[in-house]
Amino acid sequence: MKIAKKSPQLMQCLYCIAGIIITGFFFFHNFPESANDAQHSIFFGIDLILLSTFLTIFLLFIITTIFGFTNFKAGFLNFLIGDTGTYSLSRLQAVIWAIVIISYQIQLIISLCSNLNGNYFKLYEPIFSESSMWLLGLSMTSYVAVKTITNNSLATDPLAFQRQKTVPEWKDMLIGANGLDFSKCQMLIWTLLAVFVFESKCFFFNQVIIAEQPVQILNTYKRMFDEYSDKNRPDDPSPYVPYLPWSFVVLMGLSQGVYVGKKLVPTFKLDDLKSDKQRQLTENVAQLQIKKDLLTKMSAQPVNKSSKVDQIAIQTINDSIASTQEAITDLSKDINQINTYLNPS
Amino acid sequence: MSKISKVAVTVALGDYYGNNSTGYTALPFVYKNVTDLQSFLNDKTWETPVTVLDIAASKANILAKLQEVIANLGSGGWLVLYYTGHGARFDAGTGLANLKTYCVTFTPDLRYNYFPGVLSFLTEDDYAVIVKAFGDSIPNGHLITILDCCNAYGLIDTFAQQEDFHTVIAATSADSSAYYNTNSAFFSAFSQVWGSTFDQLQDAINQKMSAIGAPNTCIVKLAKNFQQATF
Repeated sequence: MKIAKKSPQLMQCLYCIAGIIITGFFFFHNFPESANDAQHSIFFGIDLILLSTFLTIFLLFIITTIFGFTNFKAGFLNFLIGDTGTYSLSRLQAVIWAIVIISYQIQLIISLCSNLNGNYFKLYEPIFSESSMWLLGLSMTSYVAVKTITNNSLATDPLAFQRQKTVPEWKDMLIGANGLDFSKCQMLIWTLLAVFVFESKCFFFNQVIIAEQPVQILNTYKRMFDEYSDKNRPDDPSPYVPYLPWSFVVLMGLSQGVYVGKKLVPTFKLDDLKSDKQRQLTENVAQLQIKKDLLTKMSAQPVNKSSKVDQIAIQTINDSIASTQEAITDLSKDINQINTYLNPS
Repeated sequence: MSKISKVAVTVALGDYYGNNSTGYTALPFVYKNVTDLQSFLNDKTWETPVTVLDIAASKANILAKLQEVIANLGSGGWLVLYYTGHGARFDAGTGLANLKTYCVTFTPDLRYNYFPGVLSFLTEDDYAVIVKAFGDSIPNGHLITILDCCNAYGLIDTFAQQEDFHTVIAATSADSSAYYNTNSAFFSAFSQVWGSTFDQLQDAINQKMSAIGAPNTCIVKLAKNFQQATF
């Protein structure tokens, strides 16, 4: 009989629903009574962004449930697990941007439907700034590029394939082949900063959509920021369709380029190679002792002389001990050779 | 020769996969797990014959060893079958009902072929035969199968017979993977609570698995006659 277990998917879904209920409550509780209120209620604006984010995540839950993907090892977080079986920064970026941009559309719909002057859902259009599309495109391209590079490297070294066996850890996002990876750290910081800036643009955009008359709303739809065009009017304080400056998009592109490029360049450091060999040596020495203990235990049992299986098993453990000893000898030789290169005198 | 009353057959596949480029990773921890389990059982007066490991652990050898042990087991005897290695499911493309779960036991073909054919491995059908043989041969006996691999419960969930004497401790459900790092999450948890009664094992193991950050995938199917028993 199987006993029902709380799956990660179910628990995350419950947290998401709790988030929707709480932010939904504050949405109605703090709903502005006038345009002036809407412009000065910081908490309401943040709550609207959080509510739409929870709704977006909930939508993804519904889609994964409808299509039957409810048994992932990390539930919803499976979206962030890459081909090496652990959390991937490129996937995190792609998922974050997708959630941010979808939730921005939900904010737009909620704001139009609950406009202080009436329900203006008829004015809804899925409008996006070019820069937001470029950011989503960059993160998706980076995700596809990283997937291709990972799969190529696994094809040449199938034993590196961990096939959903490791316990995914958050730290894996920032760790490369040689420990903490600066290109990943800086890219994570830029991403978080970009999300913050974009959400702040959404915050001010929503204030207009929720409080103004249809004419101003339609005018705001047309306000696409272009830092290289004279049509921008610095004297007009009304917000633009949420965007990020092009210089920031270029910065993100360069950052992604370094991240993907670094994955294409093989890393080779003699010190790292040595420490890797030493780690293998330590593991093999421990394995040798365990196998010797197992042989002692097996030899202590009354071996059935007529049993072919017993004879093969004892021969196998002897062979295994011999091959482990051989591996230890080879590793010791390699380490000595590396030491000769590192300390030529 | 007097018949034995408690015996544990241990099967471990670790290095074997490491010599193949077939996607099955080496599992270096299996030797320690087998040694630890044997020490625990020896302290409880169990007999632990020679471990069937790596290239010795073919389907034919495992079945031969079990036959040999069952033949020497007295009436009311207890048998532990512990398997640690890879487990998998074979989809013949004929629908969910025909999925076959198998232990990835030794077969030379695996060295060259990712899918050597499900009959090369110890499948759920072979396992059903083992259970029947035990039930027929050992009246009032107790068969305890411990499966430390992926898709472990799949080996048993398609048949629900011999419930009086048959206890299964599966590391994973039929459709989930087993987690491991320096050791399998299941064995790390199991070895902390294996003194518990069988009816407490599932909760105790899952609690320990959660504590080390692994999903609580362990399933214990209890033999009706031995719910309050321990090893």
